[in-house]
Amino acid sequence: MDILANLSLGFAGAFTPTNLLLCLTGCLLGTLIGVLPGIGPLATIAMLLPITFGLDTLGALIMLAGIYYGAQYGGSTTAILVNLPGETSAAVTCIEGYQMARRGRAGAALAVAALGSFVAGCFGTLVVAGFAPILALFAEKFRSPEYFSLMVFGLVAAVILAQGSPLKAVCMVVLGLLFGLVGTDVQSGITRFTFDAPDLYDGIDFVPVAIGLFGLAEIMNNLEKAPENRSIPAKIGSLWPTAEEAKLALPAVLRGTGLGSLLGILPGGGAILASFAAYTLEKKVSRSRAEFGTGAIEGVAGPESANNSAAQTSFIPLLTLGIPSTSVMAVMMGAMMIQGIAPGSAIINDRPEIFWGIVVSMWIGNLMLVVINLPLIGVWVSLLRVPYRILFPCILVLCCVGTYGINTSTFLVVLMAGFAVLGYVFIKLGCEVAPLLLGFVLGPLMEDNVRRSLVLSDGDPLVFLERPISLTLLISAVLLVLLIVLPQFRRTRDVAFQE
Amino acid sequence: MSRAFYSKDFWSGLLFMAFGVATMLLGRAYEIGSATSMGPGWFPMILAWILTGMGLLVAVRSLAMEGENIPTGVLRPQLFIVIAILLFAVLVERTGLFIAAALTAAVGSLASRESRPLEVLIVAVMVGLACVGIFIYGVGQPIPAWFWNV
Repeated sequence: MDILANLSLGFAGAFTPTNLLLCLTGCLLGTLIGVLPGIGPLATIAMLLPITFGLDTLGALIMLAGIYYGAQYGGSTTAILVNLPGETSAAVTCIEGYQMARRGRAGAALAVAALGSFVAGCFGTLVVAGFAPILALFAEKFRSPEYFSLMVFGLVAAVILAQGSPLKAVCMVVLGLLFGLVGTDVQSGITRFTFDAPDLYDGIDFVPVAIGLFGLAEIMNNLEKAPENRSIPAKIGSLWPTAEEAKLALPAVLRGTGLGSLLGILPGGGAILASFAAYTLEKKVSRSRAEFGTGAIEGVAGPESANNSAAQTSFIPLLTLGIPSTSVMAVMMGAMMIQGIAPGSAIINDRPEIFWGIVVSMWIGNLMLVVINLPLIGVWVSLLRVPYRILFPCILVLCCVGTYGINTSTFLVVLMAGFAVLGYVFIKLGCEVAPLLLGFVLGPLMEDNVRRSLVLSDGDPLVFLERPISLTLLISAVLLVLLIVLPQFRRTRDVAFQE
Repeated sequence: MSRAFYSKDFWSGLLFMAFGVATMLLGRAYEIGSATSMGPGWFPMILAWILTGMGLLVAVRSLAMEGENIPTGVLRPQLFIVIAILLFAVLVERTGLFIAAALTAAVGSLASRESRPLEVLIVAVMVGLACVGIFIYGVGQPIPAWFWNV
């Protein structure tokens, strides 16, 4: 019963009154920001990241877990009530969720989303507890060439799952890698692309990049829209699903959970696929097929559960291999590194209390959501009624103070303004920024691993093809690229993004 | 050419190329080295070449294919948001958090066409007080709160 022993180790660390309070605060703040239209979980986490800096490692990570779940839930709320998805996975929730809301069943949709997420979260936690140590053993076989090929695979997947032209997504990844290289080169000690600014010697800080590109750019874009384009939230109705709805939702939750857990483990952005895949599955197997498009509860239950279990299991590649598979995981990785933890197979053995604490804290965050957040739904909805002209200055100041507070440096605030403008330009040019963020986090890691691989092989680039694991990863990456060239897949992908 | 002027992809391509070329120019100073002993310039240079090449491809393709046009925007939101952020950076260490936060909120409000003077004033004061309360008295960050603390 290793799993139980490990989980109880996690619970022992995480289940203190202070930590629970932190988790609760995180959950409430996450929902508070996440419920705002146009701000997805990623922007929310980035904005709230600075408030966790003063805490001890486990406390900070637990609060982040709370923020993450709060943000996720806030995103679903906005998707269901006003049909405004904050991120791609919430776009799937919009399809059926908003239709349910229009029929007066918004409450049921929200409750099913939260409860489904909880079931999925519980299962996901068990999967992480069971599989992470096994994968960590496997990860010990990884040397530089394997890591490099894995990153290539992950970035290729990010390109394919990005909205719009794959060619532009590749450019965004490369640009992200370059931004990641700014700062002191570890090997030679030479500072690169710093314009002799000492503030850049340690590289570009993660927080202003994420807040600028995702949060502030989105605010600028929102402000351009005419006020009448922003919809008024639908009525909530009863939170309790009817017996009929529950009967339809339960199997959908279970299917979504299974599918999501499986896809989330894939180290190349499987988590993004989860909600799309679950929605497609539900559409195929559902008994009430006719209702799809007009507010089928399975269409909310399946994707929401899948999304959540995938989010949970996508911690496996992050925690064992140190490779984030989605941009949200990239933010989590950034947060861990700020706390002085390098995600990777080493932390399972070296700092088990942290590793299991993270796993358990995700579950606690989820629980907090169901127990405390769901009953507060009325409060969150009233927040949606506050005019945007009052909300956005508050968010703006929060971003400034948060970024300044990282190490009381006004330089970072100016940097954030720069990235906000860049992010706005990217929105206008139709370039998705998520691949850039992944590249940004992976930049230094990738350079380091290319360098070591080629030293290892005496400069022979074939080293990436001679090692079986590395070769497999590269072949998979090539297959992914082939997929996107095939017209048939392209069509499905375009349809999926249109929905 | 006139069509390209409005094309999303054309300008994206140019932007990527600009970043690529800038990297090459800035990176001239860094030693490339060889594959076995890679200098600090090796990896950035490869990335810069890829970025420039792909950017060129994106731009050229946009000339041959019918693409989306760049949606028209208005300057006001960007301008005031950026000014507000810079204002915060200038003020926070000179006037303390309260004034910096309140003024940032007030100037930021101008980014929206719908803002109303009285509302802006109330929001600015509330935001300033909330920031001091949360970040200084709550989280305990070492930021001066009022201008006499500076």
